[in-house]
Amino acid sequence: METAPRSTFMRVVSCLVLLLSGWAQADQIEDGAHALAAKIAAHLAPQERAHLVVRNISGLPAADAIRARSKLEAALPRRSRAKSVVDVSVTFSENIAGYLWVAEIHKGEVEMVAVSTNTVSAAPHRQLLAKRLLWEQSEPLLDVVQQVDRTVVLGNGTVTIVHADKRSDVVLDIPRVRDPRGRLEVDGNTLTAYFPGATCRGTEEPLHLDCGGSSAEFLLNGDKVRFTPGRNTIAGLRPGEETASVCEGMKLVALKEDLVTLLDKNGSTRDQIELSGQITALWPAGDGALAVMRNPETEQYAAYAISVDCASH
Amino acid sequence: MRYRWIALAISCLSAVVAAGVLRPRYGGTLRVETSAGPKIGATENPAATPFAGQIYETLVHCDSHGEMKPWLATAWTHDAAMGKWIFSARKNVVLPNGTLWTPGEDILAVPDTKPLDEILVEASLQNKAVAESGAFRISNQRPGEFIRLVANENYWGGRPFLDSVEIQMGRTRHDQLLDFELGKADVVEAEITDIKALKQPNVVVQVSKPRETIALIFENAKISDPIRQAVALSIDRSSMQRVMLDKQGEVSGALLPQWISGYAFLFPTARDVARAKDLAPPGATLSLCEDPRDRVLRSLVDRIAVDVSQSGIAVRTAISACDADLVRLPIRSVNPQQALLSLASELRVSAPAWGPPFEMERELLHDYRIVPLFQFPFVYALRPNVKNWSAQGDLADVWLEEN
Amino acid sequence: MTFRTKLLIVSSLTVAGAVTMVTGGVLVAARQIFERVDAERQEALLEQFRKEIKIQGAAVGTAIARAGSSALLARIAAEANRPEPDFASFYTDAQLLAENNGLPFLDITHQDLTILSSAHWPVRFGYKNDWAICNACQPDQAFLTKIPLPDGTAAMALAAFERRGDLLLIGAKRLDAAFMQALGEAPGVRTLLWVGPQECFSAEGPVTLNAQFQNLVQATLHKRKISQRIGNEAFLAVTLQENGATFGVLLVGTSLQQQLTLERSIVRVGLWVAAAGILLGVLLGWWTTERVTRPVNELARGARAVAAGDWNAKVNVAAGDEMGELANAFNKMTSELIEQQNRALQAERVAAWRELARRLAHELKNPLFPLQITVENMQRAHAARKQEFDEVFQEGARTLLDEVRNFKAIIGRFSEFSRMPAPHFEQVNVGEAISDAVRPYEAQLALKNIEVEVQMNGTVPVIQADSDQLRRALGNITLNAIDAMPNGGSLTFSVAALENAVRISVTDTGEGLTEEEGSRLFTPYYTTKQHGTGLGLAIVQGVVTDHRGKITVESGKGSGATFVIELPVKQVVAEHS
Repeated sequence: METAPRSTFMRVVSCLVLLLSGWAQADQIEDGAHALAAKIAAHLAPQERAHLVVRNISGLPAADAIRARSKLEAALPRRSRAKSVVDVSVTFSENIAGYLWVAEIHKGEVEMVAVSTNTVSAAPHRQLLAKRLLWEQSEPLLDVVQQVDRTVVLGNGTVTIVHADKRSDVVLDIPRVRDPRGRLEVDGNTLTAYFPGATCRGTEEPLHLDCGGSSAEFLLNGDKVRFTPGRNTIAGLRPGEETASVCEGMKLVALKEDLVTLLDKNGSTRDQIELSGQITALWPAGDGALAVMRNPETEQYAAYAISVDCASH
Repeated sequence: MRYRWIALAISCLSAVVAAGVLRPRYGGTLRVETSAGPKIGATENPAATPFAGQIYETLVHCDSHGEMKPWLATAWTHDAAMGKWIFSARKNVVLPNGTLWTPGEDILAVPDTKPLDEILVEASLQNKAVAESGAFRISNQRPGEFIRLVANENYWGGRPFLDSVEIQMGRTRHDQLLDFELGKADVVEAEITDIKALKQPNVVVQVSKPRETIALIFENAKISDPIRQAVALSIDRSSMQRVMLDKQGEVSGALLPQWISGYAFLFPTARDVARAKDLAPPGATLSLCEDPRDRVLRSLVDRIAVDVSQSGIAVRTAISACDADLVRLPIRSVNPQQALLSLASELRVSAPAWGPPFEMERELLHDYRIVPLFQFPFVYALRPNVKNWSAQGDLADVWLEEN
Repeated sequence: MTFRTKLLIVSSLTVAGAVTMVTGGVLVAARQIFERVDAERQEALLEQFRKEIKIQGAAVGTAIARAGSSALLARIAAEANRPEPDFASFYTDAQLLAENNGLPFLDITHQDLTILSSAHWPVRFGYKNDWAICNACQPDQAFLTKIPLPDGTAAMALAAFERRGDLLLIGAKRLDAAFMQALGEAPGVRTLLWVGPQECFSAEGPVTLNAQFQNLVQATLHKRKISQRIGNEAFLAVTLQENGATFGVLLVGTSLQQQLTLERSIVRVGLWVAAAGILLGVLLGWWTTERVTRPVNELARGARAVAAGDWNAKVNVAAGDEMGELANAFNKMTSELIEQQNRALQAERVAAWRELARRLAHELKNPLFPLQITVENMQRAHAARKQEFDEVFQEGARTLLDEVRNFKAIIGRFSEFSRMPAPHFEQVNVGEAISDAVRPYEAQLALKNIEVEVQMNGTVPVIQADSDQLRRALGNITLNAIDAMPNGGSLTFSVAALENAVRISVTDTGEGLTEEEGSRLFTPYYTTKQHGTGLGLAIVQGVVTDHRGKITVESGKGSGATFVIELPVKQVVAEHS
């Protein structure tokens, strides 16, 4: 009696779900390979040896796939005196939760499948010229100030200070907005965070900020501006006018979702830097700018320092 | 004519340069048309009803990655005795009458008898703790025809960008396209076969990942197992996808799309006419339902009839009272188990026992009463000023660029 | 049935027959003319159909050639020749090409007929075209074919093809109602095109054929061409063939309405003429029979009078024609009959007298001889022996007296026959009459060992008869039977009722009679016996005749004899008197 979708084989599928996060790690591939090998081995008789046929239909990098295969072969029992060979089709697949490794075990007229999931790394981000990654997190990122010994990160209602050896966080009591925006100013030990409808002031040591129910003014390219309460706009500026003035007359703008463009005085494009995501903020920072982007694939927010070599221009 | 289009493209690009693209804009009314005709109310399951999640919220919901995310609950944990899941209620949730949402203990404590996923799915399916706390509120509704939503100024997640959304429901895709061309709608659904035709300068075509399963459902229990299996083996899915669907959508033998399940390829799709001929008893007949309003499914049914007849089964098509029906099955959730349970409920078949998704799906498909054929994406035609539209219908993040 | 009735019937039938024959002849002639005209019209329409096929075929050929030279097909050919062609790109092209060139059916195929794009059935791409079946056709030749349709039916169409590189372009136009309209049917003529059991159409549109038409179609598929009348139409059915394959049946029907109208008119006129003829015939017949039957009736009356015994009856017909001649002949016949009867009677009398004389001579001679001997004996006795004379005298005298008595008896029977009186009718029970008749002879019957049986079959009515005469007649028959059975036997009286009569059958088991004896049995003075007067059965016949009855005898030599007497129940006194 056939009950499986494939007509001539009975299929047994078992799943092993390994949810992993972070970058690709050799041990994760190895763990996944071991787990899948164990499941395959469970379906083999003592006198049988597995013959793997592997395919990769996922986004798993080719190098990782080769490594996963070798780990899998190594993890399977070696039976040199095995009387019969069992074909095992292994598919490196993926689903919404991560990678899914599927083994279809053909054994005479019986076909068995063991499934293992393994989340490995996403493809490494491309490091573009003239941009430097300052910070990345999964929560919305509004502004980042890079100091010599520390990085101060403004999130949606949070301030995080990261030193080389420690990290401090504080949650701010501010109203939520659909498109959160914020501007952070660091002046010695003093911290000021500007939000639509709220302004928080405090100190780094100890880390504490008090928030008030109004939008205060802050400087942007020499002009005093303020956020519109409950909205994502800056009073006095039209959307698209949020630029960073650099190199005496030139400015950095985001003309496309993932491009930071350097325009000269005439408005001509002089250079472009591509970011691997949608730019959500572009603030003047030092001689350059700070660009915050959201990677739609990883849904990670990242802050890049965009530096401009004014001397070359 | 060609120069006019070039000029128009240049002017559009200039507008982009002038206006910038970074920040969403608040304000405006979005006009949406859909073929669905849901009745949106507090008694419906917001997770399974289109647009309902914009008005009503439950404790948790499944995000686009299939993960349970906080909604009205901000966190959950075991109680001390490990007998219950305790949900932490979100604060500052304002209801339409201006009062704060204050759920009772019975809502926030769920017996811990099953895996968390299942409990959360059940909590969502069983419509627990539904509150009218969403990003929009209903301003006007004619159930199944029209609904007008206005922004909830006090939404805990931030005011939506749009001021209002007008949704025309129960519209055929043909009528939707007409309205779109006449400027009566900003967002309409489109067929996957219209994608090429829709790719014009003033139209943004948004194609989602596969979210709709096209399956042949045997309604007549008298159709025997061999005939059902012969039918499944007779259908040339790949030819249909390659030619009739213009290589859009995915060929599938599974109910869930590959991107959700990861194992869809395990369900075979290959055609085997010789085996189908062996299986089909002499004189076998089959009637296939044809929906005259759905031209894509209608043409697919016609092709299925041609394919199946090659196996010696006499096939005829009819409008009603037939043995099998080709249907669209929207995938309501990216959680495989929840999606499968929803499909079982929609198809009025016994729900598979909770377990690994593959086992559940295999249980649903083992008797060939449901024969999946394709996975279709949702295709939307948008006006260029509509930004951040998502197939999940999350209207709160949609905004309209100023013209 | 009277002569008049017969004459009227014959004259009516003659008139009706004549009119029917004339009407029938006219009808047949009219029908033949109409059928000839109908056949000519059908053949003309058939020829028109063939011409239209050629015209439309040429149009299809032109359209397909135009489509073949289009830029669209060139693009399709270019795409199809690529290593991995995009089949989706020309999925709907056939529809476009078909629309532009006015071809309802169009398939774009590979050389091997694999469909790349189909206008009328787009979803059949990838399958083989199965209606481009004219292998011998050239690109500029149209051919008949049958195109399968998605709903399971088939359409008859005129098709043509065009070759463009590796592609074949096969297009067709359906033979449908529009095509039939183009035939330009004359009034009273219609054409039906049968393509399949589920598809038939006329110039007006689809038609559902009844069983008669279906039978005609099926018969035509076997015989190729058939003419048949269905309802008020005459149909010529011919198969439509191409390269030996049959694609359908064309039925050309002509209305028989005019013919039927004319036929009805002819029949109506015929009926009126027949009715008038019959009426006239009746009147004439009446008048004729009146003239003919009057002398005939006179003759009949005369004949009846003659039959009743009025030999002097005369027929008075004052006509100089055949009937008058007949009446004269009748009158002459009766006169001659009387004359002949008289002559016969005279001859019979002479014969009877002769017979009587012979009989008397015989009868009288017999007793005379003993008288003579006796007298001579008495003379000799008296002369020789006187002492013996007394004894001889006594003996002689006794003998003489016996013979004298014998003489008296003979004379008495003659006297009795001559003096037979007229019967005196009264109510007589036949059974009792038989008993009374047999009773006097019981001793003789017993002596001769003859058994008597009387059978009364059913209810026998009482008859009007002279009981004495009847008893005498039955007695004579009984006596005759006793004589016929000297060695004994049986005598059976069987009585049965007839309609208004009674039949008495008397059967003996004696010697029987020869045919000649039987025919002369009732002649007076005729006897088969060595003694007797021969008047016994003559008296019987006389009694029966006086009772208006009849007597017959059935016999054969050696098989006994049966006398059958039939007597009427009632007597007509007047006539008898």
